[in-house]
Amino acid sequence: MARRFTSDPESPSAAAPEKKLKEPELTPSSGESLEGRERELTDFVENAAVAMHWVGEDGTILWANAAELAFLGYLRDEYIGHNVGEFHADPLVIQDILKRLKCNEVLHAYPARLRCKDGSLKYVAIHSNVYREEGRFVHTRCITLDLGEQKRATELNQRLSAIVESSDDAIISKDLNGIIQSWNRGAERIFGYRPEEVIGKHISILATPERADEIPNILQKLMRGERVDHYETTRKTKDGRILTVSLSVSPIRDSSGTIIGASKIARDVSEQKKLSEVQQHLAAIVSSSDDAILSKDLNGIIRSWNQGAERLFGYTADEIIGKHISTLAAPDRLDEIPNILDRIARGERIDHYETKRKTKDGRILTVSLSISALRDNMGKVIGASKVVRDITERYRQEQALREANAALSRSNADLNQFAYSASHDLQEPLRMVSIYSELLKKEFGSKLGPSGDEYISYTIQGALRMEQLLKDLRTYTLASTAVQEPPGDIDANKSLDKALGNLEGAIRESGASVTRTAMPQVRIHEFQLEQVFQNLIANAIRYRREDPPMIRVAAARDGPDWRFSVQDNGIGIAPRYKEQVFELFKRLHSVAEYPGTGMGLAISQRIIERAGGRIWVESEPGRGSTFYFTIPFREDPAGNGREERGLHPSG
Amino acid sequence: MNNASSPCHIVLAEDNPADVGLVRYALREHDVACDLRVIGDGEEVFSFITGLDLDSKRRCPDLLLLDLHLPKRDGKEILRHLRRSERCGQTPVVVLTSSDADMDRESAEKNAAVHFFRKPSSLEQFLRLGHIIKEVLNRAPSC
Repeated sequence: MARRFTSDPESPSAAAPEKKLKEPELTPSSGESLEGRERELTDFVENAAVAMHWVGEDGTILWANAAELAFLGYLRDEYIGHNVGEFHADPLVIQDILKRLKCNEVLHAYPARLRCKDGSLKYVAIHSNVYREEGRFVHTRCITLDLGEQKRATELNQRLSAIVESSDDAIISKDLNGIIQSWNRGAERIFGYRPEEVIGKHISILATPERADEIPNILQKLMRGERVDHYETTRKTKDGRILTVSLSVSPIRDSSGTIIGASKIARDVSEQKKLSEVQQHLAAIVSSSDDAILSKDLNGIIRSWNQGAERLFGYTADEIIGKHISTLAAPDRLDEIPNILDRIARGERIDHYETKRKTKDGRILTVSLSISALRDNMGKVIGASKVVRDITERYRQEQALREANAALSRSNADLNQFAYSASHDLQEPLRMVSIYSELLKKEFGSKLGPSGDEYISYTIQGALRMEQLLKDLRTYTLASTAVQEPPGDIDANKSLDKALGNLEGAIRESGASVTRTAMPQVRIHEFQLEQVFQNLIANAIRYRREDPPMIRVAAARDGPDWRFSVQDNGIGIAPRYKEQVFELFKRLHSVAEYPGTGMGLAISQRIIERAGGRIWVESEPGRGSTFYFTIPFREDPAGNGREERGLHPSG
Repeated sequence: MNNASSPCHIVLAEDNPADVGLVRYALREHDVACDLRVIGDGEEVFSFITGLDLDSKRRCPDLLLLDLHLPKRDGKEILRHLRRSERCGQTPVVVLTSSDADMDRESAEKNAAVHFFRKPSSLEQFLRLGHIIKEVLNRAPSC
């Protein structure tokens, strides 16, 4: 019988396409009933003269007919329910058979050696394919034919050699003294030795020092006829590296059944071990993470659920795995879920997506989701992994902050409004005091004598001063209130011009000289910049020494800002008062010494800070002061400044 | 209907006695020899104006000095009411106000007030009112 193997052994996916199998025909041939037909078929397989059996995916013999049992000499209990590998003389062969069957190969006349109950070996040819239900491996359909002739041994040996040579695993055989008899390519690759370097040497060259006594132990087990399966240990390569390997050792018997050596399959699991350690580590991370980490498949069924998820949602893993993800959705967000699944299926990630979810006890949480696609080895999207972070608290706090800010804004607005109205309403009675004091002086001044004049003088002074204070207070509140429209880019030269114009009288009286550099365009309300210039220059004039005031107004770039300066040769300010001067109502001198309301600098500071700048003073008592203020330089064009733009060439 | 010898007649709608005193003073200083009728309540001013149309024997004032912020009735209302009057709709008005809000000025001018006078805090400036009153009276056909 020619050897026929239906496909390349090394490529599992190149399976022979299963011919469409006929459904067993149940139409009775002899006019009998359906039950009759069934009885006939059952009898056929049970009592046929050829050995037939079914093996499950894991190798368990699920059924065998009478011929099979008779062929090998076993009783039902000794055979059915056992693993088929127990009855194959060559573990490699049954491994290969099962592997091929799982990959949908159909086996024709596959040679094997089976062990009978009496210990003898039978050479057989196995014909097998797999019965599947909806793609699932149910069991094999195996027919075993007795080859009976010794010459089949050569075919089998050839087969075995091929399997051994092509295996990725190290397959080594040794005799009962531990001397290496054979050494395949896999062994060469894994351990680094060529066959001629090791054949004839003792197996212990591969051993690691601490495991030296392992090898005699294994040999002893073998002598007793026992196998060693998937035993994890370490071995040493030619260049001294230590590998973690998984060993399977089985006895080699001659035709009479005597053990003559051992066959060893060593699989290098160092990578696997590392991988599995990494996997375990990752799993531990996921498991112990405080964040809820869960995964679902493409249908939205929850597949994994960590401790964090249990804590957050209240469902245990058992309760929730297998359920649909919509169990967690807040009622108003149900339609979100198909959208998310779609995007994941397309391979998109979703990061920090804020939404709502519902816990087991019905509470609604605000959460932040990060979802990414889960892929199989081939890169196909098979589900999604999701990290859910509870941001309810943060959300609440942000809400509270927003509300507090709004309340604060409203409160500020109210306060400004109040200050403005108050200062306005307070002016009325003052007017009365001023004017009637004047009237008093006019009509009755002479009758009151010099003291009377003095009293009236002070009364009028007080009233005038109060009026000035109120005016300045109004200006201060105006400086604090946000002007409705945002400022445009204005020409600072113009503001300076206006300020100097307003101070014309004071400049003339004091004999002040004012020099200036070119001024740039800046983003601030024009009337506010005018106010600042006016305040600073007025101060420079007011707080002068005997010499006529010399005032210099300049502007220069300072990093990201424009820095303006108003420099004078006046009385100066002592260092420890440098901050105090900017406080509201604070003055360093009495009204008698120098007039003023103590608001000019406070107002200026308000204005400049609103425009995004800083204001400060550098001074030397007795020499003079320089007041500096900055306004940020803005590249982007302003929206719709009310003030004129482009009418003056930028300075 | 005005006798050339009968004195002119000014109605002062003002609730603040201090300001009333000042107006009197201003008139005296500028020798404005008119009868001054003071009405301190907005509602009263309103009915006074209504009354002018009802009684043809009543004389139209030669000038109304009107504070915009009277109790009960707003100065603008009173102004409108006056302008609607059949007999006295043409009466010149000087609006007195302590508010520097532009809005007041605008609506006052819309209603064709003759002059807009902001009450100042200095005596000297207040006395200017006398000037203004004289001007207005001299312009008026009757008196």
